[in-house]
Amino acid sequence: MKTMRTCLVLCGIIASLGAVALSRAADSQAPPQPAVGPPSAGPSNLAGPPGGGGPPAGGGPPGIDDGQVFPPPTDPHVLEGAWKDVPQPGSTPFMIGLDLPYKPETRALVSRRLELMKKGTPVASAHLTCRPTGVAGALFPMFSVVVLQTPNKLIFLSEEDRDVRTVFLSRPHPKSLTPTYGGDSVAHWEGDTLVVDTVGYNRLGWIDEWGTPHSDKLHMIQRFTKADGGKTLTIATTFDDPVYFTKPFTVTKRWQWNSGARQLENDCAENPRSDAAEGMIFENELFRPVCVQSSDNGKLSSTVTCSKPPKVKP
Amino acid sequence: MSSRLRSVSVTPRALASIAITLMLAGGTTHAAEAQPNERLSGVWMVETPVFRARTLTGTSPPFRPEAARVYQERIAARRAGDTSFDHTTWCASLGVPRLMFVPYPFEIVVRPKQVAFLYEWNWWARVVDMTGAALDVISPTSMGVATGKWEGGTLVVQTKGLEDTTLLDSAGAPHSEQTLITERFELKGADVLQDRITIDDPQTFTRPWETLVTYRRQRNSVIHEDVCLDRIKAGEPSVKGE
Repeated sequence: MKTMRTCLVLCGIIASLGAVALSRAADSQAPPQPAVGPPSAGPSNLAGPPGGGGPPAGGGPPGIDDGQVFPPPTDPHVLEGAWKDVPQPGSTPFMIGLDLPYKPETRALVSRRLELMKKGTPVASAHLTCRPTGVAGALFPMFSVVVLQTPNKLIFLSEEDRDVRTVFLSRPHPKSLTPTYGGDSVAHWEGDTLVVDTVGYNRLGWIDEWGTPHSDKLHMIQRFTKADGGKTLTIATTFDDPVYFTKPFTVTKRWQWNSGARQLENDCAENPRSDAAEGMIFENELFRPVCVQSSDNGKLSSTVTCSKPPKVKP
Repeated sequence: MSSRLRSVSVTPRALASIAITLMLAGGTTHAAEAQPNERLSGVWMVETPVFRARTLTGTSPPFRPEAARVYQERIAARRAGDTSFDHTTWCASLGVPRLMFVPYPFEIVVRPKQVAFLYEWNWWARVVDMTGAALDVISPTSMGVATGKWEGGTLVVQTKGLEDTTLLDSAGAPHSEQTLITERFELKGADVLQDRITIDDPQTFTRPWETLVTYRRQRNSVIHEDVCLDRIKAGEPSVKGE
């Protein structure tokens, strides 16, 4: 994985969905309605990303099933294993929704970001610029997620290199937290539901890939419940962020047991192609690349050039 | 020990005391041996960071002439301030085995089907498959394809499928995509872990060679989210200590 696959995939999504999902952005300040179903054109890995499809019949796409088939644990308190996100019918991929209780300024911000995407000049997000994906990564993992579980913690490993989420079962939130992209997650069981409580986010991440913001006041509560004999994981996520929203709201997603999935590797920063950053809008100078591999009409330079960056504190 | 115990009268309380003492001393009792593997779990930190990997006898690795030339060129380039050969300059993955050499903590999580290495450096994870499956290489990567097994309390990890754009060490030791890395992780006491690393790459070296790295357990410690790109934006080095 020697390319900025995240960007290639996401930028492809943005490009292909731009015309579809955003065609109704209209001239109003209101965000558009989501498109129905996946786009008819777009990167092939959008419909079936590694780890996101069914087991191939011999010689199929790699990383999905290596012949090791493990049935899901039936114990409702055991989440260990491989899972994949199941896009909800009628939803736009990686979009949390458009009927959220926005504050007026949030509505304007989201509309602006959607319009910029529509023009092919997406706003540089943490995820697009190879930072941890934070909330969006926890909610919309692009590829297979492997969960490890010990008596004291759960660890969610995404294929993306910067998304390792530890959920502590054995301690409360620390009194003093340094804000991070991933926040601080603690959990407890309520019956057969794991309740994960996350605070301590920084102000640099998004809730989804389309520009829905969150602040460092975000309090996210997720309720994980297994169903269908362990084959399905229902995740009801409640967002409470008084900076951007008028009231808390809840979004429910489903993950599917992904037996035998192998994770590939996504070394996002490996090829800092200049054309990946060209056309991006940098709302935050932090995300502007320091090192660039220049590209001339798709022909990549053999060297990466790093500028001495201005001092920008994360 | 056991014959001596049989020859004298020992009360159950004394036996318990001996057992506890032995456990504290390094875990050699049957109770401790029942789950030796779990004891690798925890946060670890390299005792002495390795910049330039050397063999067990302290010599330079047995490079083939062309690899030795590349290695010396890189050492000279870094000294002159040119790190363009080192992709971590722009925060690409450190890769295996270099991740095991740098002064950043990592956490080991031992599970039946996987052993995970969670590195603080740029928040990378490396997952070792423990199922016994024969995993093929889909595409060379910085972490490669890692499979493991337990030999008693020793975790033996074999890694193949390593892309050749990473460096074996921070000095710049090259390697090919045919590299096979074998690591033997063994506890030397409760809080000391050794990784004996064998590097087998006939394209780069005249013979397989070994190196040894020691880690100390970081009790009551956790790894923290590290974002390399934010650090270099702030003017800090991508990997400290280089």
